Amino acid sequence: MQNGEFEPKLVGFLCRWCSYTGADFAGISRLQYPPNLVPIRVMCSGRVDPTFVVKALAEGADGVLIAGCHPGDCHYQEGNFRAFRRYPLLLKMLEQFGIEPERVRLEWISAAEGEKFARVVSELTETVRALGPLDWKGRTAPREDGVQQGKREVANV
Amino acid sequence: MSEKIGVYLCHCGTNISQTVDIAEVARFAETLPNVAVVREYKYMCSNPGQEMIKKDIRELGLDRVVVSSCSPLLHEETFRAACDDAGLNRFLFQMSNVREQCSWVHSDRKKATEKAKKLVAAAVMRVAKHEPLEVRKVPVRNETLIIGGGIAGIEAALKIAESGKKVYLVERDSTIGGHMAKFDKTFPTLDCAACILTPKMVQVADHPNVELYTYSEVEEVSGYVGNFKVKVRKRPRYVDVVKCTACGECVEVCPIEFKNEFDENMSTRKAIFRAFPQAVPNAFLIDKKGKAPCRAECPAGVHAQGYIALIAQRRYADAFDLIMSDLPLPSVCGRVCYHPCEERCERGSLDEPVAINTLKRFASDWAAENGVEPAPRKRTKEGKVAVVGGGPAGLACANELSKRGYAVTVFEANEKPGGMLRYAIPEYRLPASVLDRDIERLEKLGIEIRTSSPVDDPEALLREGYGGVFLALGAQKSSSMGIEGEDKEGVMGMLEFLRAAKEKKLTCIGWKVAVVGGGNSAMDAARTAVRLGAESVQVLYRRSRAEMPAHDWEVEEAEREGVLFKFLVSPVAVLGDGKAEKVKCVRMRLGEPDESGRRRPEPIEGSEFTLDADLIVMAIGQQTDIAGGMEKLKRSKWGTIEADPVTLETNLKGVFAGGDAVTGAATVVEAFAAGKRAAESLDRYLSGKDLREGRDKEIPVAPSPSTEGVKKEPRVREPVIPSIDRVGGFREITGTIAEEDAVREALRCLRCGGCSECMECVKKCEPEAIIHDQLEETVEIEVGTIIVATGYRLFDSSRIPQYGYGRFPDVYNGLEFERLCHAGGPTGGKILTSKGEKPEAIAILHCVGSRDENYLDYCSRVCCMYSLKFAHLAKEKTGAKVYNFYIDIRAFGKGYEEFYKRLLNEDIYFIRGKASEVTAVPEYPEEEGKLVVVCEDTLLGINRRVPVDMVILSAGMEPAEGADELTRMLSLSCTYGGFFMEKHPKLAPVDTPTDGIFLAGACQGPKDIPDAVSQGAAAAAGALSLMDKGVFVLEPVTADRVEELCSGCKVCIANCPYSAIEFDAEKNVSVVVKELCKGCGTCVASCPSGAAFQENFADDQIVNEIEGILLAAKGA
Amino acid sequence: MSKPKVAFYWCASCGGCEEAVVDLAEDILGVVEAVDIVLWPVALDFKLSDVEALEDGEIAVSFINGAVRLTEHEEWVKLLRRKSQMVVAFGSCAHLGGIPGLANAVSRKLIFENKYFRSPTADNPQRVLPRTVSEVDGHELELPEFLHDALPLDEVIEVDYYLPGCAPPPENILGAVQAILAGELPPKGSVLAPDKALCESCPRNESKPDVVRIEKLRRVAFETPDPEKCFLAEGYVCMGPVTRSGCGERCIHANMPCRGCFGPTPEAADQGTKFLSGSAPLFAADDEE
Repeated sequence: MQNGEFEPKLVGFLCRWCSYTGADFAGISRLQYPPNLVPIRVMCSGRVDPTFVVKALAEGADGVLIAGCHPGDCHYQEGNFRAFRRYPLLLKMLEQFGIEPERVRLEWISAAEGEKFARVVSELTETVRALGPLDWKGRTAPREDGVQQGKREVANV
Repeated sequence: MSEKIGVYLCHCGTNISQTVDIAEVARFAETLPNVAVVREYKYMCSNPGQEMIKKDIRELGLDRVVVSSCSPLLHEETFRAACDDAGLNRFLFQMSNVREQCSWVHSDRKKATEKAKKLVAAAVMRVAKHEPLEVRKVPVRNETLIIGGGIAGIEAALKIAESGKKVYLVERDSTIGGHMAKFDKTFPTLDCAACILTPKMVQVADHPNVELYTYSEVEEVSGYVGNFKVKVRKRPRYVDVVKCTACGECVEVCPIEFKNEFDENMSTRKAIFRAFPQAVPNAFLIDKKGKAPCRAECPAGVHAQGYIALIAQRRYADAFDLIMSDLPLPSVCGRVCYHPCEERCERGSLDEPVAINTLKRFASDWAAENGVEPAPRKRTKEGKVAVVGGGPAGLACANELSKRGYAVTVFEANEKPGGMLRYAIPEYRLPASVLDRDIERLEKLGIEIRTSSPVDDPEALLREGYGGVFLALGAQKSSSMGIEGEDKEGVMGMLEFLRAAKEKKLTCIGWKVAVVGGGNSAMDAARTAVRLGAESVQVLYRRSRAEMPAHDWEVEEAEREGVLFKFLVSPVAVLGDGKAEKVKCVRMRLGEPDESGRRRPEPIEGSEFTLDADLIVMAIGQQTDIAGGMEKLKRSKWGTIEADPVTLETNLKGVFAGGDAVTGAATVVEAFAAGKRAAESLDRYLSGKDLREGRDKEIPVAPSPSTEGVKKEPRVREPVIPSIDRVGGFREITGTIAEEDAVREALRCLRCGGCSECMECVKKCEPEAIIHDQLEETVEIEVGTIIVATGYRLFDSSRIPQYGYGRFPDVYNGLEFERLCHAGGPTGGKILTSKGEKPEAIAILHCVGSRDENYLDYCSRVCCMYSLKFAHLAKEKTGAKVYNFYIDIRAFGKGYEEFYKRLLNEDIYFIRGKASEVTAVPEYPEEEGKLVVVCEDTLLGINRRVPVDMVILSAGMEPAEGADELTRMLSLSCTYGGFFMEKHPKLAPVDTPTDGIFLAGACQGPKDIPDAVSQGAAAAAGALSLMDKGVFVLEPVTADRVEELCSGCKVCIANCPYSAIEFDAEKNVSVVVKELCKGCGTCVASCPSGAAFQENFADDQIVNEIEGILLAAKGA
Repeated sequence: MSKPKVAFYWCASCGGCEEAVVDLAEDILGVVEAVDIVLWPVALDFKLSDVEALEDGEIAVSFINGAVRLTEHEEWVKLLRRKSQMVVAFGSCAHLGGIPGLANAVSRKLIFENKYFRSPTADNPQRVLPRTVSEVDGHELELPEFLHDALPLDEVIEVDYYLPGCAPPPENILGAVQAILAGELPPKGSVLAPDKALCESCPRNESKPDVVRIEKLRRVAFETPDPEKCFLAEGYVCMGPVTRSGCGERCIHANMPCRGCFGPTPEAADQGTKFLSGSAPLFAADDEE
């Protein structure tokens, strides 16, 4: 956190064909967007295991972007549809954990849509900024003052 | 094991270092686990940069490398190769993208540096989990598929073919040449497009290494670089390209005209046509939308649309000839057919169906009146055939076989041929003279008919030397009801009754007649009884009116003639003393539907009643009555002959059977159909061909034609004698229509099939190149590389309503104007207004659709130049005042600016300002009768109104139709406007992100001819370099399974988009078929038990990457 | 030589795991014969002081079931850890948190409110909540505190082995005991069950089509599953693909889909998300959720 302002930590899973190329295209076009999202390149949005998303959130990320080719344009025919099927269930699960579904976003970004990539990253950054830090462990069971915490570390006996 | 990771931070000149504090990233990287060395350099991708990495690998024993620089899409390969060089497996390398996705997109130096740290940490963490991988090499086939035969495709094809490799050139149109073939002149040199293009077209077509598929489309592409499998759908041309000599004789006789697409619909062409005289392949083709629905519906497949088209052209003799080739007895058919064709006629959905049968009768009667005989038949075949039975089925078979050149003898048991037509169809529907006339014609054509010649043993005929026998014995016996008193005098079968009436052996004067049955023959019997003088005629039918099988119009006519109907009654006994006096009937009610779907009539108990009747005609059906000697023939349980439904073969070799004797009583046209089917079988049988192969495989039915703009018009009515005049005798009820009515009616035809199949072209074509029953064909080819050159389509100017395109006839788009200028175009190269006048003033509007955020954002690049070309041509040809309305003039190519300068000296007006409107509403007297272009002249700063006679819209370019389908088929991506995306806009403009697929020409973006040609050549070079190398290295990203962990749950199988996973039931595990796996990793994500993994994208690698990012984030 | 000492303890659990030990039936006699039970609160009356009196490491093995939810649990398991050579997390709750672990999705406050105020059977007009210290007749009474989270055992003490299941099947318990007595043990930290998922041993896997497509989501509450067919393929949520096998398919035989009590397979990081990832794409396009 800088100057006391909360800077969301975002992880992005970008498919290699459309969205990663789209993000590159944003770079080639010198479009400016917030630096909060750090991209991870996967071959296809279908490769994005919801476990990764949960892992990222649990490890300290405040939000996650999954981006793939537009429906019908998937380099792998319909890998993106698989991602699309997983997404609502994942959101529902996160909701049950008390996590705002807005923190996880699935977007179709083509290789030509550098502008869209920049916009999506900006939007997600602002959305998450408004939601505040995730604090997975605190979130899943908010702390109350004076309550003894269970110890997570293995006791040294 | 502890890894030794080297981290290399590139400055990329100042591209990265200006935003990212590399020294800080370096300090941070040193703290990351397993990092042995961190170095920075100005240009890591340069030789010294790479050498630095190689040296460290060798000297420091690095076993993992991370380079933080630009996008891996750009230089991943460079650094992998460097690792390779230094003896480190190339996949023990990871790249982090701090340029495209960091320094270029962020300006806050501190924040960008933080992000760079995360990116580096992610890569360092990830690379620790990398494992050495083997690349897979696949062979590259030596063939190329080129999609699109425009100038770019042609150029690519020639380059590759010249190098000795095979090219499949697939073109959707009937000719190659693309848009360029339509052009008159080309800018800036003004040389004639045809002169420079057509030699190349011919060269391609003649090249031994080029296989041309015109009028064809790529349907499916599978496989991968080096080994694509392609399905090409060849639409039928209906003309053999090899045999066709392009003489054009066929065009003369073709009765069907369509708008000529090649002339941008400004002229017409025939249904048989070629796009333009220099088309390649230079062969005609037939525009057939499919089988006309009328013909499809006709059991005998009569070419109705064909004779209608000929009648419309007043070519009655040709029409008659066509009918004769389909039917043995045209005048008969024109009277008695129940014409199912008309039910299906598409015109019916607009107003009323075309009176198809009436037109057939007209042509046949016209021929008879004018003594026109069909084309004489030549005996061309050796065999002779015996037909047993001279009814419609037998005669149809005889006619068809004689047409095919066989000698045919018809054996008829009765004293006269005609079968049921002669004995069962009443005179008022079919005068005997008409039947005789038709039969005599057949005899004149060389068919021998032996009457009074019953045949007992078909095999005896075979022994006598007939090559084959067709049995068309008919159904000669009326069915009986089997009720009490049926044997009394005064009870007759329908057939006996009708025959007696026809032979004038019977009158019914003063009788009360009861006809039992509800079919068409019951109507015939009833109406005949009326004419024979019956006092009353009652039809007894056991169901209700709705279930009556008789045609509605037959029932109506009978009612009009005084026939009474009693529905829901059934006779149970004939009463009378030796002779019928009364019929005892029972009332019926309708119960549950039976297997025919009609509700089954059930008697109501106690509802019996009696009717007076002197004559009871049983019209409840017919049965076959097969003479002795035919015992060897296999019969069905209904007593009909058993024959194969496709071939009509019976159990006796060489003996075929069809018609009522096989199917039970049916219609005349169905009998004709059976005869023709038998003829086909006999022809095959006699010439030793397979009886089944390819049979009944027919061209699909044409889709519904557009009825847009077709005026509603009632159909012609046949002249009919009033019912009052009918009952007194057997005069034919209907008459033949007049010639003018016939022509008018024929013109109502919507020409669903496109080509009418009138067969006139077949008659004219000496090389016998026409194949009307050609079918669509799918060929499969295998290629190593693919070049996409699908070009563009012109922006549809009617999308900008204020320019009036489509509303004002004198507003043309660019291609239309090209055709107007072209010597081969609709005006022979004269620039004329729609009134046929020379224009005095012409406006050329630039940027129509292009550079317009409402339509196409981009510049279409060619419009300025072609506008200048038009201006020059218009000036040259008409001397008119020419106004160019432009935004900017973009004359960027070689010689273009010079051309522009030349134009400036040609007395042409240039008005800088985008036209806002083209209007025909005058505001000033000089604008009367003119088109007025309204615009703001931005140089003068005033609004202007320029009256002109002709407006040319220089419309922009859009991707060709079907480009989006191709996008999916080839896994391509699109950039702005839907043009295909190149791998790199500058450095790889003809490559695509999909290996082995290249782009050429305007499909990649708007471009002019020189650019398209250059790209064609460049794409060819790309494809050639791949094919010459012969192998392609695939990135190892395939998925696999740890067998020990796979539970065989099959979840991954449904997740795989490629069906690349199979289930091994024996081991109870899922198995990845490596050849099919494309490496998306979807199955890996889906594997519930973690048994699946993906090379270079393993779970732990990605998880480490996540951890790296968040570890760095924590540190921040 | 004396018989090895064995302890059983229960934390936050339903008692089913204790029941499972009793389910050993006559086999329990063999166990009792071979070992010396030093603690078994559900069956025998031992006191804290009895255990405290033991030497460190004197107990050969402690089987601990239930999640750690109270400070009392924490105290006990730490004590047992000290006194035992080996600790086995016994059953789903001790292994992974189990049903009590589901409470971690909500706050302690909410749990209390629900339990002590909102529950229809709660009769608590004074709105009394459990307190660690309260005064009764002038005496100070101390009660264990309700911890913030329900924790699996290995988040509190070191665990040597895991015996999964809700409850662990008697055969597995017996097998584990015998293995321990015989000293034939897998590497420390192992889960005492096979590594493959349940589908591997499921009798219904053969009925599963190669390409699974779920047309309609079904629930056992409303429909009776076909006793022969794969639950998942029929649209019942069955955790079989993501769950360790070794349970003897008891639920499957009772015509109930797998609920995942054996926990994830060793390579799957998260059972729930893995299930979601694998099965979500199987649903037909217009299905619910």
